[in-house]
Amino acid sequence: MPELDKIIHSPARLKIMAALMALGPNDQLDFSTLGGTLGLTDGNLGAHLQTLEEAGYIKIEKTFVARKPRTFVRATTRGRARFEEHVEALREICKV
Amino acid sequence: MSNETTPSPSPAEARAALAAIDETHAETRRNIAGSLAGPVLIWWGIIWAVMLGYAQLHSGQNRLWWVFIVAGFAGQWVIQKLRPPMVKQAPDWRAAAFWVGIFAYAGLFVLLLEPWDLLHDLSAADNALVDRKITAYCSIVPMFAYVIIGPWVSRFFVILGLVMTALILVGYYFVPGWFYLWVGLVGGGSLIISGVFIRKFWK
Repeated sequence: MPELDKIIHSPARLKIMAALMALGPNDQLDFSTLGGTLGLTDGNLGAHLQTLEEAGYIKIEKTFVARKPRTFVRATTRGRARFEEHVEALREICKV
Repeated sequence: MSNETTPSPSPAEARAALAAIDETHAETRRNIAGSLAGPVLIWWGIIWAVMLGYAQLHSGQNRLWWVFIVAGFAGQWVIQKLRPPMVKQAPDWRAAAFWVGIFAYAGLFVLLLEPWDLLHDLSAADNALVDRKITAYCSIVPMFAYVIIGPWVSRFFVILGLVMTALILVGYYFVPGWFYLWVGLVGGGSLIISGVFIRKFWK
């Protein structure tokens, strides 16, 4: 029986994971794009990303592109698996 | 921490959460593709339509084709410079499969048509026919790209590729006098339609 994940269950973090799952398994999404897509402020997004990173669900990489600092985020294998299980649990609830 | 008990949402809340996931997923894909691929496709659609329109005005003789191609790449370079990458992509087997598929399809067409004799022995009348054949060939092969990426991106692209291929053949056989303009509108139109689709409607 799939289980809901308490960390992913928060609406903002659910959307963050959904956005990252739209990419290929090892693709990384730009921090600003992620915030813009979800309508989150940098501070709010940063706090949620930290929670997800501490759980091992995402990986954050800071790098330079054309000499400008950029931050990229990707879902880890563990994060993807937990998200899929969470979605499956939601589907099970819908069947009730 | 993730193993702690989570209060179970009601079926209505679960449905709302699933809807939010779908919407976020689609919005992310549209944002990423719409930022770069969309404008690039639309730009090449315009170049294609103008290049073939120019050929139509010159009875299929387009000695300036390379100017349009250079302008196309220059425009693409500007678009890429104006829009920094939103995604760092890892190597993907699908990209390799895509190019293998395109080259196999292009090669298969050449093997089936066996144009060697025709290219060897051209009369003035045949020349226009060969130009039309080459234009049809160069237009049909990119349409197969839509068919290949369709299963990964959206069924819309499979339908688009097949419909546009059929329209090119209709132009080749039934509208020879206006063939270049026809292909310009069909080929350019398909690029513009696909660019608008992934910017606005991709899910």
